[in-house]
Amino acid sequence: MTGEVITIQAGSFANFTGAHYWNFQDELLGLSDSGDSAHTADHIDPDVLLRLTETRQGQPVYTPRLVLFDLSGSLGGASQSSLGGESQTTPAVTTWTGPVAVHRTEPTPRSRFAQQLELEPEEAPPGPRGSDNAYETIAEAARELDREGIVRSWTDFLKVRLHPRSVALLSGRWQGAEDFSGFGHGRGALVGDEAREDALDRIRGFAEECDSLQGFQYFADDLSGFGHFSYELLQMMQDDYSRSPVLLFALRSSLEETPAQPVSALRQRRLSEAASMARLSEISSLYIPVAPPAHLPCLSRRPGNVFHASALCASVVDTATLPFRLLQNPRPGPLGVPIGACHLRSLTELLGISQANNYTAAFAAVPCLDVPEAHAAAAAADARTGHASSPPPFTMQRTFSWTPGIPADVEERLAESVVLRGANRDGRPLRADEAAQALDTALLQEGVRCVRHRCVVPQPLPIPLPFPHIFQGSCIGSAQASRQNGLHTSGVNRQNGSTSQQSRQQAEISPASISVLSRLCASPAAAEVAKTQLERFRGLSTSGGGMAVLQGWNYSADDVAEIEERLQTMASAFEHADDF
Amino acid sequence: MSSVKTLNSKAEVMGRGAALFMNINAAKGLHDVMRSNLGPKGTIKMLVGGSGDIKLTKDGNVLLREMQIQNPTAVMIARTAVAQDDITGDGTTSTVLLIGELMKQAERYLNEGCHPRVIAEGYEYAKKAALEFLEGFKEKVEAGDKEILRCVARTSLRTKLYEELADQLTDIVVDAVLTIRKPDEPIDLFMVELMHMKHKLDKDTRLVKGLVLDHGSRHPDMPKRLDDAHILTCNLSLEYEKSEVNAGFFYSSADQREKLVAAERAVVDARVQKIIDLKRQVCKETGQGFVVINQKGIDPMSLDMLAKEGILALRRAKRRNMERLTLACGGFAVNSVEELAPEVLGHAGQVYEHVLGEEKYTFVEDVRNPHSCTILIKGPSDYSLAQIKDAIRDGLRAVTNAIADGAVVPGAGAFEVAAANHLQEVTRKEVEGRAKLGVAAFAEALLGIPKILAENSGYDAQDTIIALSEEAGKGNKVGLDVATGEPLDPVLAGIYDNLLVKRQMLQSAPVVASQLLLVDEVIRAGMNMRKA
Repeated sequence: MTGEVITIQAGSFANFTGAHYWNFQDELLGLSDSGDSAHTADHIDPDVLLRLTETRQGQPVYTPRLVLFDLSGSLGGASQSSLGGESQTTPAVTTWTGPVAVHRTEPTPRSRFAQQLELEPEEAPPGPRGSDNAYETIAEAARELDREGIVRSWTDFLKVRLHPRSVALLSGRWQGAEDFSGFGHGRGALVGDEAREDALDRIRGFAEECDSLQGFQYFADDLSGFGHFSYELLQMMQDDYSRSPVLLFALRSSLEETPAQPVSALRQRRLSEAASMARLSEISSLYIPVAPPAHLPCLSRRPGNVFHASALCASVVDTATLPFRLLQNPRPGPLGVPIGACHLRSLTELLGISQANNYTAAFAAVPCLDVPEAHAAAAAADARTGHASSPPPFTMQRTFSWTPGIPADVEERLAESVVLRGANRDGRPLRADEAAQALDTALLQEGVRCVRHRCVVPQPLPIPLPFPHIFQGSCIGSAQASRQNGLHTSGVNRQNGSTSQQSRQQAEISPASISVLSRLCASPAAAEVAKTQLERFRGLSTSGGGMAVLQGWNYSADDVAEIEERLQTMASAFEHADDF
Repeated sequence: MSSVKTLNSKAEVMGRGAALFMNINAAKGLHDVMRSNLGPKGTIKMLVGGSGDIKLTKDGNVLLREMQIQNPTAVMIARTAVAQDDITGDGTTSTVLLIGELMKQAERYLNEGCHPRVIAEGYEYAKKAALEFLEGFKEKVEAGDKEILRCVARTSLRTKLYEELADQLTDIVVDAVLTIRKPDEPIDLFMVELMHMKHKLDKDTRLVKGLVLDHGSRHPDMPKRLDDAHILTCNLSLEYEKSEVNAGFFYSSADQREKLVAAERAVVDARVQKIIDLKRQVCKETGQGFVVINQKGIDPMSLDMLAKEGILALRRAKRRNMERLTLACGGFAVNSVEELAPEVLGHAGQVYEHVLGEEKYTFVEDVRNPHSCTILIKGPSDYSLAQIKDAIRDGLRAVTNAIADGAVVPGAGAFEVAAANHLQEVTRKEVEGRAKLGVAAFAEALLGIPKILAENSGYDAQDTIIALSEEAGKGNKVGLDVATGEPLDPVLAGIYDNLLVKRQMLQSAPVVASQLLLVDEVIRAGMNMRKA
């Protein structure tokens, strides 16, 4: 038993990312159920993130151990009950005998993909012919998601069923009706005993089921009002779960500020960034901002598209969270067993070296390059002593920083957790030990010394149908198994587990899976980030425009002072690092 | 042209006429939406969202929350009404309606060339007079008068739920409040837990003198039912956290690691053993049960140890339930094993588990001196459960208010009719000058509420008001009988409203109305200018 992890998502972008994240989990489940007894997906323990229950017919159903928060009206065309897989009953008023007035809002359109999923019969016959057509329609619908304007809500592409307790909408706060775009707008969203108790109760319900809770992973849309909301929620949770680590991903749709933004939006973003860094780092074990860099090789994505950006964030988060989701005693397969499983607490203790500054950077290569032979790499390293121009090790080549302020080639590192999944060499998947060897060599070659945890998992990142089609053929074609060669199959069935076997040629490049390298890194450079944020925050909070924003958040001088103080602490966190 | 324009060419400016027009329209708009809600014959609203989600409500407060109001004037009115609900628990609809009526009446006079300031002055004067009148109109309530509390609860519930259900809930609500009431202490309504089960019919809703927890034991061998049970309420860590050991920095060999694991485990086992010792100490006779309710987690090995002793253990209890449990069963909540002693234990006559689909419930009933209780709400669908819950909450507030006020106000529109009469006959004659107009407008506005009540019940508004005013002129307390359309004596019929609700409504509605009337210019400019 690895121990359960409860996921909390707060805010629109966090829920977009979460939806992709759960699609990955569903895909992994489908793979490990596909009949291949030693599939690499079997190494990942579904019970860590998902809870297993049975339907009335005795069928096993997995639902995420998840509580998500969003604004009212943010579910798009999906109703709360339909997310749980219940069919809607005809409404009947049983509590009033007087007149009834029905007010109906125009039905919100849903994506064809979501509609198709719902249409699908409960138990799709796994026959090869019967599901062929159904698969084709659904694949077609999934491709449609890429078009502009099709995805309006994360419910449009989520293919996992949610527990009825999972979806919590802030009552009375409507999407679009009021300003919820800055960190502080969330102040007051948890005011009132009832709202507070409801939020805690949802989490408690899942925690009560856990026999040995590892901790929490928290996806926050931190630059919106859900930033302050998360601050309040996590503060409240400290009483009951004081010993459980909280792994907080601060998710953003773009790493850099877009120059096209109006000044007022920019101002608010900067204040939000500083406030988020100060406040959320204080109440989490690790504070990891994740945002896709503007330019990634091998990917063609539309800038500003949340559907694309969230998918990328989810692939990094899924890879980085692998170590604590692995089975303790996996059955060895042809590719060996994963190396480097660990407990969530171990991970947070490794990287959360400094209590004062737990700002952690995420670097990632999506997709990861082919892994060179260990001795070839060693030779390259030897050659490097002579020729400074030889290429850097594969762990550096396509790895970019997804965290503002800390570059991927940062020299000073205190601790690192490196995860390599689904490593390939010459189009062939690598055994875990081979991959580990190659990884070790490459890391050695980088020449940066620090405490390191490395985890090598043979299972690549499975690409579900509703994942945006953003891969460019040239980079992936040779190295990655595409759907065409049928190495991996994917499940699209909403009923977890039952997989419609498919392997057919597709016109665009849509690999069934990709290799990903992720690195979480604690670096003293975080102090510099805090310093920059502090200066910016000071400058803005004394300017007229900044003050207006803070007033709009209902922030008092005390709040501002607290944020400055925390940033100050963070900025001086590593001053005595030399004493080690 | 406003001078703001010279400073900021982007500023939008609305002159007085346009501003007034906008404010009055917004108030009227809200008024129109809410008017059909009012009273025991009002219309229930079913809101079907864009995705088919259903919300059922007759509560003005809920309705306001669901409306996604954006008009700034309407937002202001809605905030006042929501504040009304926060303070008093009821009267949201009436407040919105009164503001609407006040604005409508003002509009009439304004159209005749009257300055808004004059109306506002009159409103201010009338407000004071009406509040004074209210103090004379109220009826004192003796603390022990259960009958009058039931009347208050029934009046509130009947405006939200159908009669039979309302009458049944009346007793539940009154009993719940009287259960948790302690002499000389303000009533803490959080000591009434509202628990809902999607099950059977709404009429199966009942009051549990004790507690219902929404979880059960996590061990198959634990007893499902215990009589004569000792209750241990605690906040102890009964979980072995392998954490530090697993981190890998603290041991250098596998052997050492094993020892560390064993040592960690032993700490938790010792805690569990202390609980078991206490159980053995107090449960000497057979047939006595022992229940552990823990706020933190309990891991499977600890559960196993407890199960072997026949102890029922619940983990991750709600924080507030720890307080409620000690109030219901006696004893104290324990935070460390050192405090364990027979004195900290509470007692319950019965503890049993109830399974409903995937959900488990644990009932702790038949307790010694219940100062906390649970209303178990049942209903066939989520939206009806939600609506019953809202109604019960309002009912609880109404009873609590009546006890706190020590007084109630005869309902069915009796106060509004009498106050209007008083303003017209007495106050208007006292006021000098043009403020008379404002007082008259205020009186007319007050009559708006019984008018709507009559309309909603299907009677002619004018006839009803005339009949009621005549009776009131004779000095009688008369309200509207929604069943017949005739005047009735609310005291005889047992229709009572909260004093607090009326007072709050009289205080806030005229203030908001005057503010809206006195707006000179609406300017949209400046740093914090919202995007349109």
